[in-house]
Amino acid sequence: MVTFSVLMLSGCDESLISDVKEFDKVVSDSALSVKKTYSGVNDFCRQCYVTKLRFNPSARIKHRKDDADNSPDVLMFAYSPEDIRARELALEGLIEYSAGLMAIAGSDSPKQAGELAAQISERLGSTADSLSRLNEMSKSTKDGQTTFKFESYSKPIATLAKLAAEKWVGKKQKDNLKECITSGYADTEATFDLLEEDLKNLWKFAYKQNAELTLLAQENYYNYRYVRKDWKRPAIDTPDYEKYVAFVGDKSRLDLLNEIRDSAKSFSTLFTSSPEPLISRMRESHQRLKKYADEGKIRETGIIDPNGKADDQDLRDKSKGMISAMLDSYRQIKMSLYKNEEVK
Amino acid sequence: MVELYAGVSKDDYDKIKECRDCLSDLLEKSMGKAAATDDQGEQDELLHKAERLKVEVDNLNAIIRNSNTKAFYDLSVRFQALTQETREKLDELKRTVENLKTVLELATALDAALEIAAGIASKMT
Repeated sequence: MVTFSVLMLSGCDESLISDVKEFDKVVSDSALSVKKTYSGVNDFCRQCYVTKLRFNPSARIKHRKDDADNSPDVLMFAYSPEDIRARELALEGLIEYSAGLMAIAGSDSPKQAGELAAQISERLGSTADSLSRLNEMSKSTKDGQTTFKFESYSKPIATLAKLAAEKWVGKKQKDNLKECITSGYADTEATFDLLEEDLKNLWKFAYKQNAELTLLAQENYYNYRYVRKDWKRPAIDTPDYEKYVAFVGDKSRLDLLNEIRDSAKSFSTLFTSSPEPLISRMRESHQRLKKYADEGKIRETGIIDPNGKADDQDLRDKSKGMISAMLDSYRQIKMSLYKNEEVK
Repeated sequence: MVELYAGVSKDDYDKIKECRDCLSDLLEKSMGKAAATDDQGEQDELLHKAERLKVEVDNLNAIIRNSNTKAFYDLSVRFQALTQETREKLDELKRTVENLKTVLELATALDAALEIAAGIASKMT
């Protein structure tokens, strides 16, 4: 009797591949946005610095930072290129790693292996037929019947070989994926921890506080230049009324008000949004991969489980059907051989 | 696993962080008062105080940032190794398929040879 031992797969394998695909997508989108936050910080700080310079006649332009003063109020490199590059490299590394996992998950090697195994099986069936013909030519039978055709075996064997090879290489694919996930799990989580804190600091100290101080400097100048505390609106048709009208329409005052309005508008988004959710999204997606790393390798078991439990019902049903068909063929062939022996 | 507090001990890192956050709270309070006050003189003074506090906050933040910079570099190197591992695992799968292709080629050649032999033999019988 022909028996097979074929690898059975746990039910979560398709979800492993889809979770890896989702992780790759989330990392690609989120990590790029985080990169922009880092790479944009120097332009932002420069914009704030130059705005503040306008209202402070005692401030000399500072070209770069020095060791004694790490204030971002400089023209060049509020954040050093090395600091920014290190963060960008870590993010790029994370993107490449998730793409590497995705390449394994998306590989069609199991399908290719299945198709090749089926072709090999059919080819071997044809080879066996040739051998059988050669064998028959070396002996004689009374009725000249060909006693054995391998074709009745080769097609079901080919189908089973295809399924088995697909599942075997599929198991290898998933084991490889799990090994890579396990290798990278701790460092990927450490990256998220570091990014979360680092980004929180960047957002608060480089973006938000800088923005608020800049806006305050604009407001402070406006108050100093244009606000008169004890001012009262003059009566119409008085000389002071004409001065009042001129004041309302004063271009430089209007320009400054517009500038303050625009600053408040652009800075307000800093207070209503933050890049931290991007890290949370990546972390949540990565957490879904942890259970696969914890599971270890996929279990191996035989097709026919004596306890009657089926892990891969589809493979089990197909295999049973095929083995049954092959056994029928075998019985017929055996009967035919027996008849030939009786005739002899 | 990559060390997160490169160049600074964890205790020092935490103390610097605490100090920075404390000064940052004072800064936020000064800015809040400066925004709310009607008195020009008071606003000037509060803004000036806020700018000085900002310098101190930024100095402490720079130490924390520099410490994290090395950790980010180390993580980027680690990711290179992890990505290489994924490439090797993918190559392993591809080699499995290539091996099967070789087996198919051999099986095809064998089948062709036997076909010819059977043809010759049938003419002889």
